[in-house]
Amino acid sequence: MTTPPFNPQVPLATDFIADSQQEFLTNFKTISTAFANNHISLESFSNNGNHTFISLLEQAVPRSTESQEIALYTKKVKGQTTQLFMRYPLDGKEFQLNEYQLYRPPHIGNIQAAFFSVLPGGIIVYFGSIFPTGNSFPITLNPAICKNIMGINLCPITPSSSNLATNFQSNVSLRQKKGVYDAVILNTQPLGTGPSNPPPQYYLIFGNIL
Amino acid sequence: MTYKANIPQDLPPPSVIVDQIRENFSTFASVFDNNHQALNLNNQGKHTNVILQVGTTGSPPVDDNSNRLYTFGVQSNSSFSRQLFLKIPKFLPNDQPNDPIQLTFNSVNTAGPLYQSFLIGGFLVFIGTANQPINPNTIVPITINLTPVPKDILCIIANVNGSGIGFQGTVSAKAVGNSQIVITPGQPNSGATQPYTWLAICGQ
Repeated sequence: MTTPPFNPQVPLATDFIADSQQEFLTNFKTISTAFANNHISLESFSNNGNHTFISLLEQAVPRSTESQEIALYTKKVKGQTTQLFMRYPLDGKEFQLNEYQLYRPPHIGNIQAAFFSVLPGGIIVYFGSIFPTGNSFPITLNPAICKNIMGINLCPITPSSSNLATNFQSNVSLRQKKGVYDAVILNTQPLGTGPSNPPPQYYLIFGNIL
Repeated sequence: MTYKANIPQDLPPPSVIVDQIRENFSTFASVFDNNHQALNLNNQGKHTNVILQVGTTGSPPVDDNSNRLYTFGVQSNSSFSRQLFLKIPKFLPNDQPNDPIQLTFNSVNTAGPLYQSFLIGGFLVFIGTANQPINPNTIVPITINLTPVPKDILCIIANVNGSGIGFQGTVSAKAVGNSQIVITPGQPNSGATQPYTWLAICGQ
């Protein structure tokens, strides 16, 4: 059912109140219907005015802010979808608060348990654990949406058969496809009696989202 | 007073109708003042705050050009609490389900020594420093108990802090169940107490 339009021009000065009944009814009903969108209804006996959820319609340009305001709004992002933004007072710095789309990427067999999250401002965090099968082992970056890798941290997983971490040196290189990085390639050299292949490791990798 | 969308009704005395209309205008102004800058003030209609009532459904629908913020009760491994969620219009590319994104967790620890915060998507981050006691003959693993206890431990990064005795590859770590991490130095500690910095990312 279509809600009748709100009419702020009623009643007229020459109207009798009884004559304006329908106009009042229309306006009060329209206010009630519009307000019920996103809010506890006007007719509720408690908490009316509070929000049930916030639906933020996509904006074409950043929202302007005054001196004591912070704006929260949504905009479309190239390569993504409509995302949440925040802007500081006086048309200040604008941040994209949520990045890309989050999901649990599939693990790669029994050689990589992969996860990712995002930080405001366009940074993705890949993390998880790997169980390499040899040198030149690819730590797969899924989703592959980074044009820049800013940091790579690795930590061996303590072997269950020993309290000692074996000695080795690692080096990494980046693999790029179609302008984005899709893997970090891991190589290992033994130190003394250490392993010649990379041992199981945790990884934490930071990158810029496209 | 209660707002009534169905007034004025047929022809009570004019004084009654006027009272009903005034009551509705008054009630609307009062309700609108909740969460919003009140009518007739500068910036009327803008939000002063946003209180989100807990919904009964997990994920409100979205259309093609809007995002929705809402709250929902979530059971983590350690507690049940209301959390803030975001649902985007659609997943692009369309190769995954467009699940709502959990933005918050109900505790942080910025006082230490076990620092803790969260990442969006339902992850906890623990950060801290641990000391390897002096023991020149034996490697002494360092055990850290995580609080709040997470669902699972997904990643641990540990490093020798400062002028440490170790070198790349000599510090290792492992998860013990879902509540403990154990950092194993690469060498016995024959000098001063040796600090290690560590970070763990866990499921909530």
